[in-house]
Amino acid sequence: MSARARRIDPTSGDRVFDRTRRSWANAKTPELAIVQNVLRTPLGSAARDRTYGVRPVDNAAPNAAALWRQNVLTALARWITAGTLRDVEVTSVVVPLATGGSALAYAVTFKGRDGRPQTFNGQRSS
Amino acid sequence: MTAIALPSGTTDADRFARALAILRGPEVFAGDTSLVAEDLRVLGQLLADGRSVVLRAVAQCHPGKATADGILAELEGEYGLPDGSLLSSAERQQRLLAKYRSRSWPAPTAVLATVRTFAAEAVLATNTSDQVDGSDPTAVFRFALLLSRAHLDDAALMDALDQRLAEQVSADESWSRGDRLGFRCDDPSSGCDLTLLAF
Repeated sequence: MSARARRIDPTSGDRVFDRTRRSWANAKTPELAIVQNVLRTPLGSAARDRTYGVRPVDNAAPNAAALWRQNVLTALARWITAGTLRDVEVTSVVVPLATGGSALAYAVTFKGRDGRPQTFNGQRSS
Repeated sequence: MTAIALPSGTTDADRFARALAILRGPEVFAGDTSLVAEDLRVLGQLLADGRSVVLRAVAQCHPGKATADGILAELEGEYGLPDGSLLSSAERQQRLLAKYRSRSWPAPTAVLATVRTFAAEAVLATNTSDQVDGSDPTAVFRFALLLSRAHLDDAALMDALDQRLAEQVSADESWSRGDRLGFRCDDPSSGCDLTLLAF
């Protein structure tokens, strides 16, 4: 039986119901669900495990992109060490916003247990 | 601190759902309009049901809280009480609790706890050795129970009370019952049959 994880909508944070199967929708892969859920959780905000989550960065900081990359790799370290996530790489770029401030667009590429490359794209607003 | 949307509500299931949402953290949105909230409420109800079963099991072990659909009959047998199936649950619990308390030692506080199982307003009056040393030193072995007139008029209640006290107090002690201590000729509340002159 292949591993499954429930799909969580990356925008709303709500579970997704699959009406054709009359059950909860599955995430594309469990590894993708791990990456998405970790990056949705500020470090320390989950009471079940205060070490779970990613430390936020100030998008306006001069080294925000590099700092975010480091924080994401730190947040995913336990799964990288366990071999669940492999060849993890984070690319990020700060994008100035027309309304002022800046957003940080990033992409996390990795391989799961099946060895297929996967990508998670996200954006942080300041 | 990160704000987390939580399910609202006042039931036990809602409270457990909120606790689960806090444990989960902001990786999911658990506000009232979400499927996550409903899922957590179902889990919360599961926890609430389990909690109530545990609390009920604990209550069954206590003489004053065991119920007829629980182990009340077994506890009655264990404490040597006759079958109480014709009595109400409250009466059975009261007599079982009194039986349990009567097994305590005969200190005034313990005796009062037994008496108050039957009459919550009961007051225990004792004689100190200083008070009776020059008159009747044996009066230290006597005490008085001050109860309401309604309870004093209940013969069955007083009979049950006497049985429990006979089991609890030591053989050299005796007691009297009355509604007050001190008879006043000019007080219409003083009754020759209920007011204690002394004990």
